[in-house]
Amino acid sequence: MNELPLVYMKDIRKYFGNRRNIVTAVDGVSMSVERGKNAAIVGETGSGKTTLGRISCGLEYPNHGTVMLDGENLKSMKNRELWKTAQYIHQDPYGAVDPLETVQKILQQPLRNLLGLNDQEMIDERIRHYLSLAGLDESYVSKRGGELSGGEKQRLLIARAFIMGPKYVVVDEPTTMIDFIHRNEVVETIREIGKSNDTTITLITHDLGIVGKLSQIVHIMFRGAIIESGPVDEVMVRPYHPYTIFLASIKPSNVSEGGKITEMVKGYGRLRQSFTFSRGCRYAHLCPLADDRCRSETPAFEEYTSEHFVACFKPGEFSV
Amino acid sequence: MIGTVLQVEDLNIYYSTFGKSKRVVEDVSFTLKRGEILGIIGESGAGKSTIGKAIMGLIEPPDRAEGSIIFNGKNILTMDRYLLDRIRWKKISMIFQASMNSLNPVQKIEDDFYSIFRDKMNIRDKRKMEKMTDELLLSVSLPAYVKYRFPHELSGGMRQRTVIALALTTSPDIVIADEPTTALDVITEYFVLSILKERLRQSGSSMIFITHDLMAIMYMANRVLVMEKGRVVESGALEKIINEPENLYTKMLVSTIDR
Repeated sequence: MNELPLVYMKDIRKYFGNRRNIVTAVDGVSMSVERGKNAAIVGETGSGKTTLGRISCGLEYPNHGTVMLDGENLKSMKNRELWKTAQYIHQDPYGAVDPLETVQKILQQPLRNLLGLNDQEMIDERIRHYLSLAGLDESYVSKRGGELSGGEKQRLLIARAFIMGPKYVVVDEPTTMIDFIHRNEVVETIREIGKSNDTTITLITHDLGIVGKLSQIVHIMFRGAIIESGPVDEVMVRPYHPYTIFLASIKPSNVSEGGKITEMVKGYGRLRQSFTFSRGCRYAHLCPLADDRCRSETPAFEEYTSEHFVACFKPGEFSV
Repeated sequence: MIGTVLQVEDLNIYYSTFGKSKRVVEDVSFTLKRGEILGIIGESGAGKSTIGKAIMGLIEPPDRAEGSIIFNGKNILTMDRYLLDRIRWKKISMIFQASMNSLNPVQKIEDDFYSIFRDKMNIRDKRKMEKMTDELLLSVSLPAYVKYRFPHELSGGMRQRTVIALALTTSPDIVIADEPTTALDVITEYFVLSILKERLRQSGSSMIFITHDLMAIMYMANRVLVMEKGRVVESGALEKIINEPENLYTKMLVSTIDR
């Protein structure tokens, strides 16, 4: 057994843009994913969750920091080896499936090129097996990408990622294109297929509702940094960071016209757009509890209770 | 009827693919009252968006629509192009599903506004148009510089709010919103919805709100139609649908809310 976790990331920084206009997507994040413990990265648009997920599986190189995947440094890893170990399921199934290619070809290409399988019967058998795991039957083999609905495309992408037998899969927003009823089905499919394959999954999402159905550990991201992380049951039941508390309070039973949360959301949306982060807590300008200390000092990301980390000077004081 | 802005009766819509015709909307009837927000909810493929398209008069051969959609005493389905052009966007406007695709990628946001001012409201004074654009952007909490940007330079939430501002430019009688907040995160979604509701109240427009998102519908709608496979299976006030659903499908839908 390897001592290092499956994915180990230290002090990751990633910038986008040109010389004049630099956007910091990830700002000094350290995070690891243990074998067999599915993780989730939760955050709003622009929080850097997708970038972090892409860095963790080698799709994107960080400007600063180290990524170790299955005990090897990503920098020294060959692409071939990398894709056998880690796979990524794209956010947008419409863009990720070639409309002209048949399902058979989409699934057998990685088997032939990366795993070097040649026996056509074995390949067909494997394709059928993974299609059925993903909830598609044999008749789909001859269909072309363009003939599939959004949900079917999503399932095809799931099959394609897992057919390689990877140790690590990153799933980026698997449910945004799918309606509520089928949302749980897709998450269930991913969970089962991961379990039977012995694959560890990192889920990237903005939907707190599906986190608990797939993951054991959750990391909450805000503006390029992880501000709270811990076991899902712990973080969902007793969130400490004011942002997490705010995020968790937005659910159907709480929404009402003129209510406290509605007012908070309005204020939040208005403040959010006119802001550049310089120093202090990155949530300070939006936080109702913020004082002078929050605006000048950056809170450390520390273990508050066992395994539950939070970066806040006043953990757990906020309530809605 | 007084207070009714739109009356849909026995609407049937057929899509034609490879010469075969398929009925996607079956015998749908409903009325829309002034200032009301009517939610249409159902899974993908239930025919929700098709109804929205029909009300905008966007069903064209070889697809066909039967029945009647009465707006201001006239049937939209049998209306000629000239009349339809005068109603579209001026009286009935639409917020489309994908905000990226409904904004022209090669022109700045201001040009989208100016074309509405010119073509639909007959305003040609440049200074006035600029001022009105600023006001409209402000009404959805967007700064004035947004009008000099291209769509790809804006975030998803900003684009969505731009589209809302565009749809409400003419203070139309009816706004059709087709999944306006799908693919936004909860905070942004809620923010956009709260702005949409505020703008609707200001302009006094009615709205048909098409979605599969239950949180959105619970926040927005007064009355709800539940659709399954092209049919309306249940309809009524929001509280009734949420608390005492009768139909099996509605029950399943409501049970997915984590309260």
